[in-house]
Amino acid sequence: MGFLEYIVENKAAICNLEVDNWEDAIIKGGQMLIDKQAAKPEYLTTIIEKCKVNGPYIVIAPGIAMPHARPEEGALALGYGLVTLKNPVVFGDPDNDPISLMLYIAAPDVKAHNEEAITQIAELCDDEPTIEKILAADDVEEIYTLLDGLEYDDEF
Amino acid sequence: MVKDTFVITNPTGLHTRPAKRVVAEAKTFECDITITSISKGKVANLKSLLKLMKLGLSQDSEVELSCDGADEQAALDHIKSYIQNLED
Repeated sequence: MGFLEYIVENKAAICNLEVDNWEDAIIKGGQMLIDKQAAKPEYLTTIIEKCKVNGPYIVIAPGIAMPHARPEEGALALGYGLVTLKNPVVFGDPDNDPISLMLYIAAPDVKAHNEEAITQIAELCDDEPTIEKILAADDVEEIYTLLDGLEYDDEF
Repeated sequence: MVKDTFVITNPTGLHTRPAKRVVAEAKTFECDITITSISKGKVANLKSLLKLMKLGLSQDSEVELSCDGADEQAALDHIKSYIQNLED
Protein backbone atom coordinates (compact mmCIF):
# COMPACT_ATOMS: atom_id res chain seq x y z
CA MET A 1 0.00 0.00 0.00
CA GLY A 2 1.25 3.47 -0.84
CA PHE A 3 1.80 6.28 1.63
CA LEU A 4 -1.25 8.30 0.61
CA GLU A 5 -3.67 5.36 0.64
CA TYR A 6 -2.36 4.25 4.04
CA ILE A 7 -2.88 7.68 5.63
CA VAL A 8 -6.45 7.94 4.36
CA GLU A 9 -7.51 4.35 5.09
CA ASN A 10 -5.91 4.15 8.54
CA LYS A 11 -6.83 7.70 9.56
CA ALA A 12 -3.15 8.27 10.25
CA ALA A 13 -3.05 12.07 10.26
CA ILE A 14 -2.99 14.66 13.05
CA CYS A 15 -3.80 18.29 12.36
CA ASN A 16 -2.12 21.20 14.20
CA LEU A 17 -0.30 19.13 16.85
CA GLU A 18 1.14 21.25 19.65
CA VAL A 19 4.80 20.48 20.38
CA ASP A 20 7.64 22.20 22.26
CA ASN A 21 10.56 21.47 19.94
CA TRP A 22 11.81 19.06 17.23
CA GLU A 23 12.42 16.18 19.64
CA ASP A 24 8.93 16.58 21.06
CA ALA A 25 7.53 16.59 17.50
CA ILE A 26 9.22 13.26 16.72
CA ILE A 27 7.97 11.64 19.94
CA LYS A 28 4.41 13.04 20.04
CA GLY A 29 3.69 12.67 16.34
CA GLY A 30 5.47 9.32 16.10
CA GLN A 31 3.34 7.87 18.91
CA MET A 32 0.95 6.96 16.09
CA LEU A 33 3.44 4.40 14.76
CA ILE A 34 3.65 2.81 18.20
CA ASP A 35 -0.16 2.81 18.69
CA LYS A 36 -0.56 1.07 15.34
CA GLN A 37 2.16 -1.44 16.29
CA ALA A 38 4.34 -0.40 13.38
CA ALA A 39 7.30 0.51 15.60
CA LYS A 40 8.76 0.10 19.07
CA PRO A 41 9.23 3.22 21.24
CA GLU A 42 13.01 3.01 20.70
CA TYR A 43 12.45 3.58 16.99
CA LEU A 44 11.62 7.23 17.81
CA THR A 45 14.43 7.75 20.32
CA THR A 46 16.86 6.26 17.77
CA ILE A 47 15.74 8.84 15.19
CA ILE A 48 16.43 11.63 17.71
CA GLU A 49 19.87 10.20 18.55
CA LYS A 50 20.74 9.83 14.85
CA CYS A 51 19.73 13.45 14.19
CA LYS A 52 22.02 14.56 17.00
CA VAL A 53 24.93 12.52 15.62
CA ASN A 54 24.44 12.92 11.85
CA GLY A 55 22.62 16.24 11.66
CA PRO A 56 18.96 16.55 10.65
CA TYR A 57 19.03 13.85 7.94
CA ILE A 58 15.25 13.54 8.11
CA VAL A 59 14.65 17.09 6.83
CA ILE A 60 13.95 16.61 3.13
CA ALA A 61 12.42 19.83 1.80
CA PRO A 62 11.55 23.36 2.97
CA GLY A 63 9.18 22.95 5.91
CA ILE A 64 9.10 19.14 5.71
CA ALA A 65 10.75 16.38 7.78
CA MET A 66 10.42 12.64 7.24
CA PRO A 67 11.25 10.85 10.52
CA HIS A 68 12.43 7.31 9.74
CA ALA A 69 15.19 4.94 10.80
CA ARG A 70 16.43 1.62 9.53
CA PRO A 71 14.11 -1.40 9.69
CA GLU A 72 16.28 -3.13 12.32
CA GLU A 73 16.23 -0.05 14.55
CA GLY A 74 12.76 -0.85 15.86
CA ALA A 75 10.35 -1.03 12.92
CA LEU A 76 7.78 -3.81 13.28
CA ALA A 77 5.49 -3.38 10.27
CA LEU A 78 4.74 -0.98 7.45
CA GLY A 79 3.30 2.17 9.00
CA TYR A 80 3.01 5.81 8.08
CA GLY A 81 1.81 9.01 9.69
CA LEU A 82 1.24 12.60 8.60
CA VAL A 83 1.30 15.39 11.16
CA THR A 84 0.97 19.14 10.75
CA LEU A 85 2.44 21.21 13.59
CA LYS A 86 0.57 24.12 15.13
CA ASN A 87 3.84 25.92 15.72
CA PRO A 88 6.77 25.14 13.39
CA VAL A 89 9.97 23.70 14.94
CA VAL A 90 13.62 24.29 14.07
CA PHE A 91 15.85 21.30 13.28
CA GLY A 92 19.05 23.21 12.53
CA ASP A 93 18.85 22.83 8.74
CA PRO A 94 19.21 26.43 7.48
CA ASP A 95 17.97 25.60 3.96
CA ASN A 96 14.70 24.06 5.15
CA ASP A 97 13.80 25.35 8.64
CA PRO A 98 11.28 25.91 10.14
CA ILE A 99 9.44 22.57 9.81
CA SER A 100 5.63 22.39 9.91
CA LEU A 101 4.94 19.04 8.25
CA MET A 102 6.15 15.67 9.58
CA LEU A 103 5.84 12.49 7.49
CA TYR A 104 6.58 9.39 9.59
CA ILE A 105 7.66 6.07 8.11
CA ALA A 106 8.28 2.65 9.58
CA ALA A 107 9.09 -0.16 7.16
CA PRO A 108 10.05 -3.75 7.92
CA ASP A 109 12.62 -3.97 5.12
CA VAL A 110 14.74 -1.55 3.15
CA LYS A 111 13.20 -2.34 -0.21
CA ALA A 112 9.66 -1.53 0.95
CA HIS A 113 11.09 1.59 2.53
CA ASN A 114 12.62 2.84 -0.69
CA GLU A 115 10.27 1.83 -3.38
CA GLU A 116 6.81 2.03 -1.89
CA ALA A 117 7.08 4.90 0.50
CA ILE A 118 9.85 7.26 -0.42
CA THR A 119 8.99 7.69 -4.09
CA GLN A 120 5.42 8.65 -3.27
CA ILE A 121 6.48 10.95 -0.45
CA ALA A 122 8.90 12.70 -2.79
CA GLU A 123 6.06 13.20 -5.27
CA LEU A 124 3.93 14.73 -2.52
CA CYS A 125 6.70 17.01 -1.21
CA ASP A 126 7.41 18.23 -4.74
CA ASP A 127 3.74 19.17 -5.15
CA GLU A 128 3.93 22.58 -3.47
CA PRO A 129 0.29 23.66 -3.97
CA THR A 130 -0.89 20.48 -2.20
CA ILE A 131 1.61 20.93 0.65
CA GLU A 132 0.30 24.47 1.17
CA LYS A 133 -3.27 23.18 1.33
CA ILE A 134 -2.34 20.42 3.81
CA LEU A 135 -0.65 22.99 6.05
CA ALA A 136 -3.65 25.31 5.82
CA ALA A 137 -6.13 22.55 6.76
CA ASP A 138 -8.09 23.12 9.99
CA ASP A 139 -8.97 19.49 10.67
CA VAL A 140 -7.91 15.97 9.68
CA GLU A 141 -10.97 15.33 7.50
CA GLU A 142 -9.85 18.17 5.25
CA ILE A 143 -6.43 16.47 4.96
CA TYR A 144 -7.96 13.07 4.10
CA THR A 145 -10.14 14.64 1.41
CA LEU A 146 -7.09 16.36 -0.09
CA LEU A 147 -4.94 13.19 -0.07
CA ASP A 148 -7.76 11.07 -1.42
CA GLY A 149 -7.98 13.32 -4.48
CA LEU A 150 -4.30 13.06 -5.39
CA GLU A 151 -3.10 10.92 -8.25
CA TYR A 152 0.60 10.38 -8.71
CA ASP A 153 2.21 8.14 -11.25
CA ASP A 154 3.33 5.12 -9.20
CA GLU A 155 4.98 3.58 -12.24
CA PHE A 156 7.67 6.27 -12.16
CA MET B 1 29.11 16.49 -21.65
CA VAL B 2 30.62 13.41 -20.01
CA LYS B 3 28.76 10.36 -18.73
CA ASP B 4 29.27 6.96 -17.19
CA THR B 5 27.09 3.97 -16.31
CA PHE B 6 27.41 1.95 -13.12
CA VAL B 7 25.43 0.03 -10.50
CA ILE B 8 24.37 1.25 -7.04
CA THR B 9 25.99 -1.12 -4.56
CA ASN B 10 25.31 0.22 -1.05
CA PRO B 11 22.57 -1.76 0.77
CA THR B 12 20.07 1.05 1.35
CA GLY B 13 20.36 2.58 -2.13
CA LEU B 14 19.91 6.31 -2.60
CA HIS B 15 17.24 6.99 -0.01
CA THR B 16 17.30 9.96 2.31
CA ARG B 17 20.50 9.86 4.33
CA PRO B 18 22.90 8.70 1.61
CA ALA B 19 20.92 10.69 -0.96
CA LYS B 20 21.17 13.87 1.06
CA ARG B 21 24.96 13.48 1.21
CA VAL B 22 25.20 12.81 -2.53
CA VAL B 23 23.11 15.93 -3.26
CA ALA B 24 25.39 18.00 -0.99
CA GLU B 25 28.44 16.69 -2.91
CA ALA B 26 26.78 17.44 -6.26
CA LYS B 27 26.08 21.00 -5.19
CA THR B 28 29.81 21.67 -4.74
CA PHE B 29 30.22 21.49 -8.56
CA GLU B 30 29.21 24.15 -11.06
CA CYS B 31 28.19 21.84 -13.88
CA ASP B 32 24.71 20.41 -14.41
CA ILE B 33 24.56 16.86 -13.02
CA THR B 34 21.82 14.36 -13.78
CA ILE B 35 21.30 10.73 -12.88
CA THR B 36 19.16 8.35 -14.93
CA SER B 37 17.52 5.17 -13.72
CA ILE B 38 18.19 2.81 -16.63
CA SER B 39 15.38 0.40 -15.76
CA LYS B 40 12.77 3.14 -15.32
CA GLY B 41 14.08 5.39 -18.10
CA LYS B 42 13.68 8.43 -15.83
CA VAL B 43 16.15 11.21 -15.25
CA ALA B 44 16.65 13.44 -12.18
CA ASN B 45 18.65 16.54 -11.33
CA LEU B 46 21.24 15.27 -8.83
CA LYS B 47 21.24 18.63 -7.03
CA SER B 48 17.59 18.14 -5.94
CA LEU B 49 16.93 15.69 -3.09
CA LEU B 50 13.24 15.33 -3.97
CA LYS B 51 13.92 14.66 -7.66
CA LEU B 52 16.52 12.06 -6.67
CA MET B 53 14.17 10.42 -4.14
CA LYS B 54 11.47 10.20 -6.81
CA LEU B 55 13.71 7.87 -8.81
CA GLY B 56 13.58 5.32 -5.95
CA LEU B 57 17.11 4.01 -6.56
CA SER B 58 17.80 0.82 -4.61
CA GLN B 59 20.77 -1.50 -4.32
CA ASP B 60 21.53 -3.10 -7.72
CA SER B 61 19.83 -0.27 -9.68
CA GLU B 62 21.81 0.58 -12.82
CA VAL B 63 22.27 4.30 -13.34
CA GLU B 64 23.81 6.70 -15.84
CA LEU B 65 25.54 9.72 -14.35
CA SER B 66 25.86 12.69 -16.67
CA CYS B 67 27.75 15.96 -16.09
CA ASP B 68 27.66 19.01 -18.35
CA GLY B 69 29.64 22.20 -17.73
CA ALA B 70 32.99 23.68 -16.79
CA ASP B 71 34.03 21.13 -14.15
CA GLU B 72 32.24 18.14 -15.70
CA GLN B 73 35.09 15.63 -15.66
CA ALA B 74 36.01 16.36 -12.04
CA ALA B 75 32.34 16.12 -11.06
CA LEU B 76 31.81 12.81 -12.85
CA ASP B 77 34.89 11.23 -11.28
CA HIS B 78 34.11 12.50 -7.79
CA ILE B 79 30.37 11.76 -7.68
CA LYS B 80 30.74 8.30 -9.20
CA SER B 81 33.39 7.35 -6.69
CA TYR B 82 31.38 8.93 -3.85
CA ILE B 83 28.27 6.89 -4.69
CA GLN B 84 30.27 3.70 -5.18
CA ASN B 85 31.95 4.15 -1.81
CA LEU B 86 28.73 4.64 0.16
CA GLU B 87 28.65 2.00 2.87
CA ASP B 88 25.28 2.29 4.58
